[in-house]
Amino acid sequence: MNPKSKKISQRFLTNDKILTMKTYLKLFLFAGLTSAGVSSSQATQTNLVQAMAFKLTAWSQGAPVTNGNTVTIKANSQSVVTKDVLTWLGVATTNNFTGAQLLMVNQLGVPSSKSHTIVRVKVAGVTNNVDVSAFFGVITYAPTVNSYSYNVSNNVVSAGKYYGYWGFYFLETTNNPLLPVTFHVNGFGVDSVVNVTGKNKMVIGMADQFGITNAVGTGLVNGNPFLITGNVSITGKNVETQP
Amino acid sequence: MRIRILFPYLLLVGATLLFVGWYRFQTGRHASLQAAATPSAPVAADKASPRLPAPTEILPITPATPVATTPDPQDIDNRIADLAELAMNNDADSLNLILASLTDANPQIRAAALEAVIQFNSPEAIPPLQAVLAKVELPQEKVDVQAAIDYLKLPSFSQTETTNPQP
Repeated sequence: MNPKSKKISQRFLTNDKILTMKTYLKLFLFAGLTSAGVSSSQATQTNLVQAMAFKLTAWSQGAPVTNGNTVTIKANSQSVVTKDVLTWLGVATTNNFTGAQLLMVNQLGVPSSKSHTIVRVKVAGVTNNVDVSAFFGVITYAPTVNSYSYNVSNNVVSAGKYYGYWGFYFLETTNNPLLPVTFHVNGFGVDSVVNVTGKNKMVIGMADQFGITNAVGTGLVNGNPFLITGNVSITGKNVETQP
Repeated sequence: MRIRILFPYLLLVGATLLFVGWYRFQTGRHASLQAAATPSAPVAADKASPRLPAPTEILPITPATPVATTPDPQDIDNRIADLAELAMNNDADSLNLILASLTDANPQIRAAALEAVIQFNSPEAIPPLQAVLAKVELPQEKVDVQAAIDYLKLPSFSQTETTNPQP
């Protein structure tokens, strides 16, 4: 069994009902990391903070344009980047997320810890984190194909790469049904596990650098369907400590 | 007797001094002519003093000692995180900082800057990107920059569809 993958149950939220993810849907992305490491802490908690980024293209049906006897119908392609997702999250949570960051936070070195998706807003030097985990979900459709190594004596897993078929969801929640846009994309993804080093350049843990490229899916905007393609990534090796 | 002995000696010393004086005059004149022929020669300095030695005459030219060129991975990670943070802003200063990193010597920084430009999602970045495209040498980077330009030409979904819903 792949020592990295973890079977984690996760509630999946759709527009009108809540589905419980079955255990075979491994969500090791959101679990964040495979713990080789160590670090953690006695009094303080060390978090791995990564940036979540979207680079997508939405394809929607344009309205017919009549010019004499000719009616022209065009497919519209429009960009969807992280800022757009933040704008929609702001609408759903009645916040202003202009200039905010969409981040994934995992407790470093604690594989079973729950990961959080947060929006970090900095206003006048004051940082405020809004938990938006409920709007996101990741699903693994098939067992990953893995390239990694581990030490048989202590079971420590080295950095490696995990290839899989993933789905990524951006959905309304029962508490926040006002999300203007919802979508999900599926595609081939690569999860590269890399070392995270501390200030003294010692390895203090590992971090997933996750990306689904050329994903395809569908979405809804104001009740109208659209196709969506592109990339979703969760990357970064920033470490923060909190009391 | 004494004069007979001293005279040839004084003659020899005088001839030697004359020769040394002539030699110094000739080499100084030669160096001045050479310096004047060089476009960047400091003519004013030559006028102020008969001849200033070039730095290379004082310190011989030696190959530069190679400084450690391997950047600190932690610094690179920090810069990449900074670029991702700048990408979420909407001001011109942030965009300019991102654009400045497009020509960084480190390919990781360049890639992160390109990603940040995309996330900034402003058509104002297209002309600078086209300028960068003209200078990029690596084929894959050319493809990436061109793809970023094409992507930035797309209208934003959130500014059109969500504000102008279809009937």
